[in-house]
Amino acid sequence: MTKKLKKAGFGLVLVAIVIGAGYASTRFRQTKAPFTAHTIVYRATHYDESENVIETDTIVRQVSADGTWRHTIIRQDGSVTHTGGKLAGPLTDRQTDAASPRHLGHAYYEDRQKAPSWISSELQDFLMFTALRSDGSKQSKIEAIDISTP
Amino acid sequence: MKARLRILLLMVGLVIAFTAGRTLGTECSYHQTSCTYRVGGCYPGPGSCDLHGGGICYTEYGVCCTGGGADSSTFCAPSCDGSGGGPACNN
Repeated sequence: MTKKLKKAGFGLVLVAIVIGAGYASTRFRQTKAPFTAHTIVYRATHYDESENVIETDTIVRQVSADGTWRHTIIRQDGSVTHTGGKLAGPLTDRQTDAASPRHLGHAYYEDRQKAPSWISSELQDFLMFTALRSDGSKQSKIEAIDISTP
Repeated sequence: MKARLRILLLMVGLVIAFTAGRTLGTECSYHQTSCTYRVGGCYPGPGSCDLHGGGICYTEYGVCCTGGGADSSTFCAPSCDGSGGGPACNN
């Protein structure tokens, strides 16, 4: 009888240990955040068809570690609008190295295949982007003027 | 009296034409992206959306899914949540 009780007790302890280990592995597992949280302040310049500047705005872009992004846009006339969304995944798998150019302390690669852009692999974000019209003329340009990470 | 009325009508016509020209001139410059892209973000521009059903003229930008490069699209919409870019971009 005592032997049976001992066996049952041992079994219970074993089950408790396994449950505890499972709980701990889930609760304390270190998961790497997919994105580096950061804030970029862009100067946004808009051009007419003749590429004359028609408006200059300020965009404050906040990106969270989960990829959520929020833009606060301060228009030239003082009005404020917001846009926001969530990054579906990393923007790029291209890497930068020690020889890469830097802007505001962040390495980037330049891409001119379609719209001219500077992209930071570390931040998974644009440091500069130029939107073109269908005829190839410059429509707008956003350029980072300040970058901060928490 | 008739001459004055003619001049007045002409002036009104000119004002309407000028206003229409201005509206057309600052109309949102639509742009279709040349690739399916991973959306990075979007921002509003100065173009008017009067001829496109209202809303705000947004430019949405991102990195092309395949072949490299970055591109954007410009459109009129009530808001922009970065859900554009097409469904074919598998991460």
